[in-house]
This record gives sequence, C-alpha cells and structure tokens, in this order.
Amino acid sequence: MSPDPQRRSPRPGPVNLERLALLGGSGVLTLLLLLGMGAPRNWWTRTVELRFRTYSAAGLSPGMPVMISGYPVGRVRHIRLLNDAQVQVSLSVGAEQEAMIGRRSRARLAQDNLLGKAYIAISPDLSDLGHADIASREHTLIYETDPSLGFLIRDLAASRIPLQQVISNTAKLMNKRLPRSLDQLDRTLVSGQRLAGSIEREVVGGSGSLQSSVSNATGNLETTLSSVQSTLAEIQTLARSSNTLLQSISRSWLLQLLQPAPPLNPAPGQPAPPPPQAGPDPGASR
Amino acid sequence: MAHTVGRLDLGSTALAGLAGAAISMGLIQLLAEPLEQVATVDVQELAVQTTVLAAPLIVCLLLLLRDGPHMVRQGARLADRQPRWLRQLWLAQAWPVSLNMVALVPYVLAAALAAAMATRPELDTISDLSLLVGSLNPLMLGFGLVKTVLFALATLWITVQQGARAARRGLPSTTGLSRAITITLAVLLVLNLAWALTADALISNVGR
Repeated sequence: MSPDPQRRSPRPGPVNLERLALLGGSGVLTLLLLLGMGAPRNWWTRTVELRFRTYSAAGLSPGMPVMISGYPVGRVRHIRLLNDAQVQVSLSVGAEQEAMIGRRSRARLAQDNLLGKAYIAISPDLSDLGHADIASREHTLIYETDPSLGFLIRDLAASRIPLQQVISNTAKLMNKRLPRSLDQLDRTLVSGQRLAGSIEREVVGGSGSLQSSVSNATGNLETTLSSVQSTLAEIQTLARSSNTLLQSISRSWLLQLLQPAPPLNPAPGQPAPPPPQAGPDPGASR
Repeated sequence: MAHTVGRLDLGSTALAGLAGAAISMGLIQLLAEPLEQVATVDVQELAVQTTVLAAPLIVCLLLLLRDGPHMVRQGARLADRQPRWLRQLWLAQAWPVSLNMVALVPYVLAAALAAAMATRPELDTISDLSLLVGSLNPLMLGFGLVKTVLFALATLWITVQQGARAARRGLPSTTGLSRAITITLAVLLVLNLAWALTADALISNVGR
C-alpha cells in the first residue's frame, strides 16, 4: 500500500516577507508597464474614431501609431477591405487631439528613418481650432500616398525613353540645322558690316554739304534780318511824319467850319450852351 | 528550513535584472555603433522588445541553474514510487514556481529599460522612458508571461523526471542533473522556436 501523495506533498512554509515584497514589487512594475503601454494607445482616455480610404493597404497594419507633429495621439484600429476593392482604415485618436484635426487635415504614411517604425502622420488643421464642432464633423480623412522608391524608379524608367527621344531629336536638329543657321548668321553679319560701312561713308559725305547749307542759310538769315531792321526804321519814320500831319489837320480852321452851329435862344432854366471851344486863330497858326 | 524550489529572493531578482540589463545594453551597443547613433530610440525599442522575447528563457535558465540540483534530488527521492508521485510533486510545485518565475519577468524588463536609458544619457529620460514603455506590445508582454509559465513547468517536470530516472538506474544525481540541463535546454529552445514561428508572428500581424 502506497502512502497518500497529498500527505507527502510540500507544505507551504512560513510567510516569507522577502518573497511577498518582491511579488509586490513585480506587481507594481507590471502595473506601471501596463499604464505606460496604455497611454499611447488611449486606454485610459476617451477616443474618437477617424477613417480614411485608400487603394492600397501596403505598409499599413493594425496597431500602427498615429501621430500629429511627431507626437503619438492614437493607433490604427481596423483595416478592412471594402466591396469596391478600396481599403478602409479606422483610426483611434484621443478626444483631446481631435480639435486639431479638420477638413484640411491629411493622413499619410510616414517613417522617420530607415530603421524607424512606420506610422500614420496627420497634418493638423489649425484654421478652425477651438471652433470645431465635434458632433457635426465628418470623421473621414483624406489619405495621401507618398511615392515609394519603387514607384519613383518605375516613373524614372518610363520617362527615360521619351527623354532619350527628345535628346536624340535635339541632336539631329542641331546637326542638321545648326551649321546652316551659323552660315546664315555669318552672312547676315557680313551684310550688316557692309551696311554699316556704307552708312558711315554716307554720313561722312553728307556732313560737308550739310555744313555749307547751314552756313548759307545763316548768311541769308542775317541779310534778311538787316533789311527787316532798316524797313522797321523807315516804318517808324513814316509813322512819325503821319502823326505830325494828322495833328496839323485837326487844328485847321476848315474843320471848325464844318462843325454845326449852336442854338441861338436856349430854353429858360437851361444853361446856355458853352461857347464853342475857341481854336487857335487860323491866322495865328499861319 | 526546507529548500523551496524556484525561490523568489533578492539573489534571483538581482540575477534576472542583471541578465536583462546585459542583454539590452549589449544589443544597443551592438546596433547603435554601426548605425552611428542613428535612430537611437528605435534601437532602444528593439533592444527592449528583444529582451521581452528573451525574458522567459532567461528566468527559466536561472531556475534550472539555481534550483536544478534540488529539483533533481526531489525527483530522485521519489524514484522508487509510482509515477503519479512525480506528477503530484510537479503539480504541487507548479503554482509557486510559475508565480515566482512570472514575477521575475517585470524585473528583467525594468532592468532592460533602465539599461536602455543609461546607454543614451544625453536623451531626456522621462520622455524616452514613456516612449520606450509605450512602444512595448501588450500582447507580446502577455504572451511572454504565458510562455514563462510554460517554460517553468517544462523545466520543473524535466528536472524532476530526470532525477527520478537517474536514481532508478543507480546513477549519481550529477548525471541526472547534467542530462536534465541538456534536455531542458533543448526543449526550451525548441519550444521557443515553435513559439516564434506561431505566436510571435500572430502578435506582429494582429495584436499591436
């Protein structure tokens, strides 16, 4: 008959304070770890759900951090393939940071460096900061896909052939047209040089005749001016003699005779008309 | 005072913390030096997460190397009994051993975090510590604790069973201990490999 194993099993010893303290410390550490792990995942804060659609879920995965200005504000919650072959990505973002996300905000896949983890970067929209109406806001973001290295290489390869054609066409054009254009340019320069020479000669020849013409005109002008001056002097003399003649005529007795005689009996109360102004005695003037 | 298997005392805690700090700091130095201090926080995160993955193996190796002889002796004492005595012994010690080993894992992590922060003293410790802790995967930590329990139970069973086997064959207990260490290492590594192929892939894909 074998003894009962329960009776032979090790019995718990006295209370070990060291073990209890270490167990408590382990529990506290675990609690701190949980608190720390839950903070960026918004376990202890209220969250809101944002969504965006994309044509490719490449690089996206649940649990991926969501950051605004490099600061973690949430996580990728779900990734779902829709019936129209688009991918709907649901984000869980802290309610405190929701005010920074507006209509102009864009979501994109980002990575800080080669070894860094990929994350969703949301550009903040500060245009209506503080005036955001959470209830009426449509919680759908616009997702911008960054060109990956593969896309860039493919685009570069696609653009290489037309670029090469353009270069070859340019080379052909230069080989064919450039010498001709240079010849034409040379001929044009020679013609221009000839034209400049003839113009210079014309200018040199024409300058002498122009100078003589100018001197002749100047002489003629001086002659004309002198004659005009003498004419003016004669006119002045004529005017003076005419003036003297008119004065002598106005004083002549013949004109006084031609004036009407004054009335003989003036009306009473009326002053007698003034006697005619006696002119100089005609005899005296003689 | 009776010797308790899988003790949780200052010695085992210090050893676990030392192992975590050594692994974390070694990985950071190994990775940060070729990268010339590029992505320091990412390297720290990688080192701490690697320590989380290695923590179950570390504490179970500590259990094996520290309490292996005692567990082998306990198995040898029950060599002439029926196999259910061994199972009973295993069941009786499974709970305290598992709890003690699980309790060591947070110390390993705390030491790894402290070592990661000490490796880059020019960085702001508080914000970096929160970043580091926030970067840890809760599922990875939870699965790591489960893995610790599994590894501890496997270690306990193998050492007790190998002690009884050596006693039945009339071999010295050191032979049983040597064989127990070899088999335990092989089993733990195979379990770790299987875990990495299944559960860790699940964590990476689903549960961040």
